[in-house]
Amino acid sequence: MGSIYYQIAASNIKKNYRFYIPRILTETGLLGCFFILYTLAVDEKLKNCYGGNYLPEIMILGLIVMSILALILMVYTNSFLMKQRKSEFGLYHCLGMEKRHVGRVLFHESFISSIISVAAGSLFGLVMYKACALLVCKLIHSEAVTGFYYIKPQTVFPPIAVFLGIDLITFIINRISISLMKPVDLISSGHKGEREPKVKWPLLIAGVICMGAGYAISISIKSPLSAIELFFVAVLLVIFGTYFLFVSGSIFILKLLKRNERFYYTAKHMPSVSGLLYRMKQNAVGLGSITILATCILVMLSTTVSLYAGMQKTIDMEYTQQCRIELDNIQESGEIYTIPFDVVTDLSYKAADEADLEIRDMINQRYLQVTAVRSGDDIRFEAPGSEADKTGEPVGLLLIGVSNYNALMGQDISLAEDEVAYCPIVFTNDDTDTIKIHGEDYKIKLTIDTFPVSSSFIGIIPVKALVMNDDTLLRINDIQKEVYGFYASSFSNIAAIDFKDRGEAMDKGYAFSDRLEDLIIEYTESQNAVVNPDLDTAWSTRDGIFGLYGTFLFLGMILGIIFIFATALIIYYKQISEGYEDKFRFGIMEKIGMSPSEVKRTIRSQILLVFFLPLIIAGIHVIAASPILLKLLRLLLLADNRLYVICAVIVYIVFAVVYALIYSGTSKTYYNIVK
Amino acid sequence: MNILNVTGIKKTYTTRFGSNKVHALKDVNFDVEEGEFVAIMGESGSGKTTLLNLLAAFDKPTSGTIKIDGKELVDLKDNALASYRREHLGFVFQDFNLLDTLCVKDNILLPIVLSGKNVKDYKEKLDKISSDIGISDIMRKYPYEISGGQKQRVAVARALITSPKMILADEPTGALDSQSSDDLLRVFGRINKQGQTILMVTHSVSAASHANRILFIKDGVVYHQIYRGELSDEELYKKISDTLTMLRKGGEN
Repeated sequence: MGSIYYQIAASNIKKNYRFYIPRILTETGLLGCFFILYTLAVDEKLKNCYGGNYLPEIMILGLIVMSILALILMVYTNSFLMKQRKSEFGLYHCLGMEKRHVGRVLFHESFISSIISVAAGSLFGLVMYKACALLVCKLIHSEAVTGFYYIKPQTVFPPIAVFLGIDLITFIINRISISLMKPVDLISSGHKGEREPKVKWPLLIAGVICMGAGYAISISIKSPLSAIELFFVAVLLVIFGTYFLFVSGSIFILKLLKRNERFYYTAKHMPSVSGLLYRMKQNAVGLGSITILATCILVMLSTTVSLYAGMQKTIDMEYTQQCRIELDNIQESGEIYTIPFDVVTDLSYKAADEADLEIRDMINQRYLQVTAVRSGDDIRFEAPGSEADKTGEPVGLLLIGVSNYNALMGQDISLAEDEVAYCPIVFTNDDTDTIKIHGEDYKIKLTIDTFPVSSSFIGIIPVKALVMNDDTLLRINDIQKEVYGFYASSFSNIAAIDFKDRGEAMDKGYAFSDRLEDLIIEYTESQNAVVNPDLDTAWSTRDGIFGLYGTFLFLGMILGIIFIFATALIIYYKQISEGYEDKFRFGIMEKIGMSPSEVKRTIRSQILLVFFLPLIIAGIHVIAASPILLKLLRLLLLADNRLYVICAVIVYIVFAVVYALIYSGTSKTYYNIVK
Repeated sequence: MNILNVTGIKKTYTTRFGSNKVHALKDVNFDVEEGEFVAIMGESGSGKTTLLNLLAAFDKPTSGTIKIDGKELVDLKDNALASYRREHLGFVFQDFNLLDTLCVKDNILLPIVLSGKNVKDYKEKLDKISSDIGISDIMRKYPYEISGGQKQRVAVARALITSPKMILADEPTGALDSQSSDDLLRVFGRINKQGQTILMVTHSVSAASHANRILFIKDGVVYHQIYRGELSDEELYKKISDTLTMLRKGGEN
């Protein structure tokens, strides 16, 4: 008896190849990618590569997204398959099979397709893993480690288990839906006439509100820090808004079009508008999904690509001097040992000489970098955790004493205790002639073009860069120490090195910094001090960022590819179901006097509208999301808005081309069915 | 005046490898005058569907000419044919062929819309036809909400809206119960009295007994025809039955 079920199941899969092949391919692709991400997350050797330390966390993030997507997609393809086959199950029923027998046939079908998919997917993942690992190494600028082909039972089984679990869930859903069906439904479903959908006003209003709120959050957001908190809220609002508007808004618009008799009663519009209206019930959710997937792809790729591409610029901006050495070192005893600037200068020149690098300039920066909160026109230090601290708009202060400024810039300006010099370059400019800090007014005596110190706050929060009287600076330092206590900033006393050839410095940097570190330790030991030199270099930061952004980019690409497949799959199924429904309608129109070319024209305009609407809406979503995304990118240190716009435009164009290819590929299936 | 002129129609289907030829129609000649209600009868395989497809210009004859209102159908190109069909012929099919996405009113107006005409000019006509045929009260409904008989009457209204020269009906009662069939045939009789030319293909004797003239097709030729003359429907029914019996016997010989 079992073999009969098996035979029926096998022949069913063959018969329904149009639905089963995409389903099997989807599962194969998803499992393959899941496999790759999972192995990357647990690969010990890769993790220990330079820059590979971000892999586990970021890949697990990707795995979560993928599992959810996989579950949704598998349930979607499955429900599609079931809908098309209800009358077939009805026939089995008429022929005397009980529901449990139909269930058994279904089980065998699921089992066969599941085994094929899991086997093919694992194989695909195993084969592609090496290539992907090499790509990751390349992106994070790490040497490819030999022998990191990390395949063990514990990396192979979890992905397989996850997908078998998903298959089991879809089977259970099918089994339940079969049990709930009445035999009559099984036979007659598919021919049921459906009422013309009505506009669901509550949904329409909810959709407009959600969408408007989501857009408003993105556009109105001021600071990057609040962007983190509100980003996911905005995303959720837009997702719900998109679904609601596709479900209700599409019907609303089509009804409006229909009411306009001069528009509606034309050969071009009547067949398509009525057809769309009639089928929007099933289509709306699919189209909404396509839109959201497309938006995800666009956002993921344009942010990760622009981060990766803007890395060099970010580093250049933050490191006007490529190597910074902290001179004030806290020893284990708690005492501060200051390495004399002259000594560090000598040692640096020596190390540079040995590393074959030339130093352009070396300066001793003494400055205070501290955050404050703007309240009205005052910039105040507020106790950490207080209400004013949480709600106020954060401002960075970059303060330098006038004597240090004069020494660094070779100038001779003098400032009274209530006077400051203000540098608006790169930083914010408010066009005032006084500035208020913690309740005290300072006159802006002059405006300067360049500031000798760069700030790590740049791009994240607005920064005020000021030169002030040395005593005033000390007083402000005392205030912030008192308010912030444990969290207070301390003066930076830094030896900063600017190399003649920055590119060369990036290449040979490690030779220099390693040697300098040794030299400093040697020196301090001779002075009976125990110091762990604190070097902040552009090259180590670059490698750190490469590790992070490279991993991000890789995840963006993998998820991008998966999402594109998902989109393609949904479009494919849509084309098939549209095809079967339209076949009949266009046949009638041809019979009562529509020429084949007119039929073709109507079909094309209808399909174009349906399939390119998501692309357009996704584009609008991306534009609306840009303000909040730019703020988030600033947190990740990308402050180049133009670069992001360029990346986003390129990504959109590439995606539109891919989308058009998917569309034209799948529309052949549609035409074949309609013919 | 002749509205339809069929001379020497021949239709030959060739099997795929060209070795076997099937003569669906051998030599069909007949005329239909304006205002006539003609039924074409014949058994399955006699070629009556082939003939209707040729008359509707869904297909082209192997040889011979079909003139509708003096115009040669064979010469028309595909696109011209579509618009010709739309403007000069009305169709009623066995399976109704209504679009389930359109309400009754829009289904009737569809040919007008497809011709690119302004539907406002047809408002009065729509009202008149729908009240004639008895579907005025279902104009806002959708096909799935109405019965088979009503659907077929909607199809008739759709065929009439363009004021066609001739209505071609292919087994219009085939999917209807006897009550609905009678209703529909009475509608046909009524519009025929108003001057509408109707050509109906059927194998139902009772359907054919509503016509003025009945053509019998057998083995690809018009074998016989009878006129109603002064006969009532019942008498015509009897005559048609007799003729069919005779034809069948003739076939056996």
